[in-house]
Amino acid sequence: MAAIVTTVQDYLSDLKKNRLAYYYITPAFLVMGFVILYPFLYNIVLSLTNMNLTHFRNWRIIGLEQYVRVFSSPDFYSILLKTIIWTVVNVFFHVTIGVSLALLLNRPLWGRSIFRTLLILPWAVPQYITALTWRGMFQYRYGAINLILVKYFGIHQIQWLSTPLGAFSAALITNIWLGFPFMMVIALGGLQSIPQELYEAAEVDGAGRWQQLRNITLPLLKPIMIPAISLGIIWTFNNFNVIWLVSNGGQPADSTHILVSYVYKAVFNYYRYGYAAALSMVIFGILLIISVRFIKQTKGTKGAY
Amino acid sequence: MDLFKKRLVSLFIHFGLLAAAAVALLPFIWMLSTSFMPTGESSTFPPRFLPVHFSLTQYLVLFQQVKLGRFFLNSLILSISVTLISLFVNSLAGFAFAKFSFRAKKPLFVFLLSSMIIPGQVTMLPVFLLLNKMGLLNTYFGIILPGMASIFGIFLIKQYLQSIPDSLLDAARIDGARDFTIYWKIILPLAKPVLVTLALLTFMGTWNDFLWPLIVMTRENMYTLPVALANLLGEHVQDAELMMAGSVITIVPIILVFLLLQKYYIQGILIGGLKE
Repeated sequence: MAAIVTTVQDYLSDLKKNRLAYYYITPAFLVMGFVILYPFLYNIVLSLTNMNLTHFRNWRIIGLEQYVRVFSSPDFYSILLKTIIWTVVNVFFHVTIGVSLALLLNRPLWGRSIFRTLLILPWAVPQYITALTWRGMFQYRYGAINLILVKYFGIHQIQWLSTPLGAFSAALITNIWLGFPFMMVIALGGLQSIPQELYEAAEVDGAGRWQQLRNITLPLLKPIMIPAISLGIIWTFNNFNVIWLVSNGGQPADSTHILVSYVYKAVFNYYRYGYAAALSMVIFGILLIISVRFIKQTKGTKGAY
Repeated sequence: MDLFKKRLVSLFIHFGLLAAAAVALLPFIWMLSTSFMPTGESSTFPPRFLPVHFSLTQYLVLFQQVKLGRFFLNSLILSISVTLISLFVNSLAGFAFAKFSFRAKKPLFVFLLSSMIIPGQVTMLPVFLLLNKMGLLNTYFGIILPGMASIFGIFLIKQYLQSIPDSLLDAARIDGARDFTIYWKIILPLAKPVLVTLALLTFMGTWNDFLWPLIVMTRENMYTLPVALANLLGEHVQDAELMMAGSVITIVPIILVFLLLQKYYIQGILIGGLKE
């Protein structure tokens, strides 16, 4: 008890001493309280209630029932699995494509800056336009993808949007296209920070290009890529726009959901507020675990945070 | 390495990059080409990639019937105000976190960083209900208020300011500068590169934002470009050409801004490792 009192006194005297610092952060924290803290607490309360369309005004606290409902529904596990596949496949390709392109661009090359600009461009475009454009391109009869597949590769048209696997793959391809520039820029930055002498020394020792890549470039790139990859995992896990817009709200027959789009559907289409709140708390928990692991890993490799 | 082999490698790399660039550009080309087709041409058989009857119909319709000018203006007003206000709020907070040592600094900063993982879907409904109660739906302020501060912005500015030596600030203090003067006359000019970066990211983020304006702006004269575009899709389901013309108009300004300032954009990604 006495410890608490002294801590409070400590803070109060600090409030006086560093008044200016507190003034400076106040506007930002008022906004944060409004858009993050309050909604988050509200959401916790909501997740313990039975609020839905029929109990919109006369809702009551029902304890952990909504959480039980989340974990006992088989849908949850299949969607969780899809979310994991979605995240892993996306991030894998983002990193592989991004790093490969960065390696190609990281040398004297004719037209290098033009290529770099063109390759980052997907990132400057709003996601909803990208998603809708790709949705048009995946159209069965008139879409550009099938057009190209038939004309130049002699492959039969693919049912992109009307089958579960097709729609999921279409969303994946769209998001891979959308996400590689970020990893490319990070990798380019990383490559430029590797000292040139290392390569010169390796050449003197007779190491070939492949050996240089494996023993110098990739290990030195790793600490730079790990934070980016972790962020990539969080964003991809939570990426609502692409899956929702490309599959037009989870079509066909709600078979192309990831967790966030499923939550959105529960809120805005089924009005199951309590259930959706519980589900989003579960998502938050999963991300929290991933992030904690990521921070530990970053500490292990960098020690700079 | 002999010259021939070198040439071959370079040719090979160029080919690879060219292929990648083609894939990166494909949606833009498709969008542009469809937008110049007369209504219905993109869904005729046999399907085609380039317009046969080049036409400007879609663009005329957009500006004469759909009143895209008004939506363009809304987007512009919102993007500029959010950018200016958030630059001020974020740089003040970033300054405090970088250059003051106050008791609550660490816990507050940890709080900021950890709230980054809260998905937007969690906070959307409560914020919407709150804005509704405050009567801020269908007002510019309903978009500006949630955008006034961003964790990413604070983080970016803090990282940058930490690299500025304290001695500069101390010298100014000795010369009698008061603290807000220090912020205004010393910190802001020094932080110019990172401020430009953040301004660019914020402007693009607000201009491109879709879900939030869709929820807040329900009256037609308050629509932003993305919302108007989405509504276009609802009304003219068959009209892919009109939709694509609308998309072209939405992304042209943002691509111009991007091309002009891409140096800062890349810098921002590298400092913060983030995009919002």
